[in-house]
Amino acid sequence: MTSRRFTRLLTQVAFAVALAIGATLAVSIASPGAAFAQSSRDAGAEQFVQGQGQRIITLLSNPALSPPDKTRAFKAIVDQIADVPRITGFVLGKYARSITPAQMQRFAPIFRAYEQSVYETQLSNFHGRTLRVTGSVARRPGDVVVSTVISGGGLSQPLPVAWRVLGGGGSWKVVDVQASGVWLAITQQQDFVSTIDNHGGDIDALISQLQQQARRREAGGSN
Amino acid sequence: MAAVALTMGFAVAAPQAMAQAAPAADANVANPASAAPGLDDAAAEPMPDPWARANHAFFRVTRSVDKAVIAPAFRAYNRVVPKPVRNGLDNAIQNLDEPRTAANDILQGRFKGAGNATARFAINSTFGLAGLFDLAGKSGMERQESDFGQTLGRYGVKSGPYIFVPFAGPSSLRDGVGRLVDIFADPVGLIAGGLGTTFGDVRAGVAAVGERSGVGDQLQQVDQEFTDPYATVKSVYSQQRASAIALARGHSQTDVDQLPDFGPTPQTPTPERAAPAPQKPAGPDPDSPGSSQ
Repeated sequence: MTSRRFTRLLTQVAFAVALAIGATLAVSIASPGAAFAQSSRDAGAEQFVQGQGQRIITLLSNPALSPPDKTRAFKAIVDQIADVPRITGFVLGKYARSITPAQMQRFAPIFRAYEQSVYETQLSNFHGRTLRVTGSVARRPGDVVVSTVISGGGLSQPLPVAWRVLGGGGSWKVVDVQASGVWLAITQQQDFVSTIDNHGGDIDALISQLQQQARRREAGGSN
Repeated sequence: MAAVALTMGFAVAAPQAMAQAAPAADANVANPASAAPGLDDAAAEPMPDPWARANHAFFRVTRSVDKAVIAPAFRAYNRVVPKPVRNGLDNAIQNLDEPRTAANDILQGRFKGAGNATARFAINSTFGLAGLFDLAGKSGMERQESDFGQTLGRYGVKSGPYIFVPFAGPSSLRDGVGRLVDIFADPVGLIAGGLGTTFGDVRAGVAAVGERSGVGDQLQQVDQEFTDPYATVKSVYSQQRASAIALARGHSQTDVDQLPDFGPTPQTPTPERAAPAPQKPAGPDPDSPGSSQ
């Protein structure tokens, strides 16, 4: 008698668990993100990243170039393919609205130098040789995340790197780069905004800190 | 719940990401169909930090001890111990994590990933001489870690408060709980012995040494390249976890819906060679490259 009731209870529990698992699976499979992720590749953006990304990797892994030459050539490419003014506004976060023109005039050049140096260090760290586009997702038309894989050279296994590009048609600009799940411009924004917050909203504090770091970089060579 | 351990030493996991080895993006995604928009932590938002005061204090202490003692010790270690030996040790220790990865992959519904981890474990434990050599990796089966914090995140558990663990590194309430589950339910630990046994302690010690040695001087790099190291480490860790969870849900590395918008080009004097020209307020920038969209 009790054992039969127990069996029935057990069956019900098993049924409920199965139902829950089934429901979870159904929800996760039917979720709308999937269709979106698959449908919106952008061939133009992919072509841009394939060409320019490979150009950067080739430059940085060129053993024939002296470090100063490399830096110079790298800066020229960054000027060409990255939308530095737009990144400059982005990394200021909420302070982009309150920065004065005079402050912007001081911040923009120091940030440009900083950005070129950081990008060069980070991308050189990859030690890769070849870049291959593996896909892309358009967040909306003109705002595309292109996935690539960098391999060869000193890399023991291929490294996924994503590029966020804005533009359209044949004209694209890089605004952010992601490796190991970390976006550079997003990190910079959180870093800078926190620094300004810590100084009671004083944007000049950030500017002078960046200037100090630039002086230290110059003093310490390209290291 | 059977899930496994992220061994010890999550050392300074965060800055490492800036320069090195990443999880293979699309290689292990079994089911590219499991997004649950709005469920997870936004990729762009750092984890909430209600315990910021304690975290800051732990961060400060950890960094000064690291700078004064730990970093120099590891510089010496890296000089004295040849790279092939260090790599072999790292491989062997990481090989022991594969069953944990496989278990979490199954829990996450990533059966391809689970198969990959299982095959890697089988190949490297035997032909790779107890994991000293990553033969599987050389033949294209890349290493990819999964942990229980990620499994929780994959099913919608939020990070909870950010925690900086002294002498260990960044974590969160969810990921800390996940780590405990990983440690106590680790298949290798359950069979060969967990913490408190000689095997478990040696494994944890070697893992911690390997992690810290892999980080190298990247902590210093954070100092040189960022203006607020605390905020930077928190940001990097938050993004890495969001990305790991996006991967577990079948996105590739990033959930694009969670990215912030890039605003318009700010009105600035062209920064190109911004000569400190006297006054002249900002106007529209004629040669701004922002012809974009």
